[in-house]
Amino acid sequence: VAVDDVFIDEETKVLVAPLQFLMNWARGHSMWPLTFGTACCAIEMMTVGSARYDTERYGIFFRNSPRQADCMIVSGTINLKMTPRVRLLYDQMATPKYVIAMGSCAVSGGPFADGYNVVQGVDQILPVDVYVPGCPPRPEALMNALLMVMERNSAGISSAAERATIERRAKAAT
Amino acid sequence: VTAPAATATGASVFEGLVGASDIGVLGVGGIPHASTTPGELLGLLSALRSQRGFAHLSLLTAAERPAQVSEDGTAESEAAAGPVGVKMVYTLTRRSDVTHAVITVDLDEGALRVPTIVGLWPGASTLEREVYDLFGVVFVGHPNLRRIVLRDDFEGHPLRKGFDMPASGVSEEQVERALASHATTGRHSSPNSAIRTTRCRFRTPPWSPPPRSRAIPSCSPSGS
Repeated sequence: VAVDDVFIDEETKVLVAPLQFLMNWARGHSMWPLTFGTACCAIEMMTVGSARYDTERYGIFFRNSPRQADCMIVSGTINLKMTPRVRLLYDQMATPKYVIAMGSCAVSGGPFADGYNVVQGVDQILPVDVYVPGCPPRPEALMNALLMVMERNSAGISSAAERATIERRAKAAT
Repeated sequence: VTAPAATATGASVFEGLVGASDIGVLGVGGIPHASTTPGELLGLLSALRSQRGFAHLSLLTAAERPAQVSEDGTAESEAAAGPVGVKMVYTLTRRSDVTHAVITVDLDEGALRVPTIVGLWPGASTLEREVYDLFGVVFVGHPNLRRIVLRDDFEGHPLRKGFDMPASGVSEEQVERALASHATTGRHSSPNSAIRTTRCRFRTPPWSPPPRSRAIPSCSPSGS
């Protein structure tokens, strides 16, 4: 689906576009992340929402409920006790949904990877769309990740969750 | 916080109370201190609260009791070389003159049991659960003695010196098991959800809980 498919109907003067294009356009200009901080990276995540960086100008608008959110920013260490809770929050989000692993801990366990209680990367429990390395990453890096997800939505690129579902179905079929 | 008008001494705080032994003061500030036994703990704390005005529980914690080492650097006895137990530390505060009082109870390895003080200070419940979680001290009579910091299926008590840190990190199998518990229980993911739905009771209490009284002792300074 491309921009060329959008045209104005001469008779009715109505803008006509494929539904998928409109869906991608909407998803690409409005990203509602879940307010969800687990460690010090959450401080940088809050900074992204503050006046200095002001993500709301991009349509990035933090929500307090997983039911209203479509993007989970895992900002910090995930330990075993928290694992099912994180998964529960993710499951409560409506599709399409996206996951950003923010910081070394969410990417790989970070400095605590050998700990007796720390999950070595959130991709062990969730399909991750964008990894943001850093300890913690700069707010600009997180903004870049959010915009990257939105750009991919505009282009109609499937999310990690969709790819994981396709892979799982293909595996089940064989 | 202003300095207290008159410096309280160990004697002025603890003299005449049943169960207080080794009466003295601690540290530079000279905080009144006494030690007691598990059997006499409740009576001593109750008397401090009702007769001496120490109505506020500021701290409830524990510390590993180090092995006694003699001057030539060797352990005094064979038993002292191993883990010897845990020291319970209760700090009370009298707000009228901002005086603290520290009461300690030495518990020996293998008998880490002390009566709960939830009946005196309901807020002690959280603190006692933390000490149970990290040190393994069983608070006899506690209404809800579960782990509070670590996950429910954790084994061991990590603030004990004898705790063996696992050599490797979390395995994928452990993660799978944690997720599976979520998948099967649905609403709440914790393996403890069964306990939550039954009013947070131990399924198999490690002791026989005595009948609990809801009455909270009076805290008037004049007498109980």
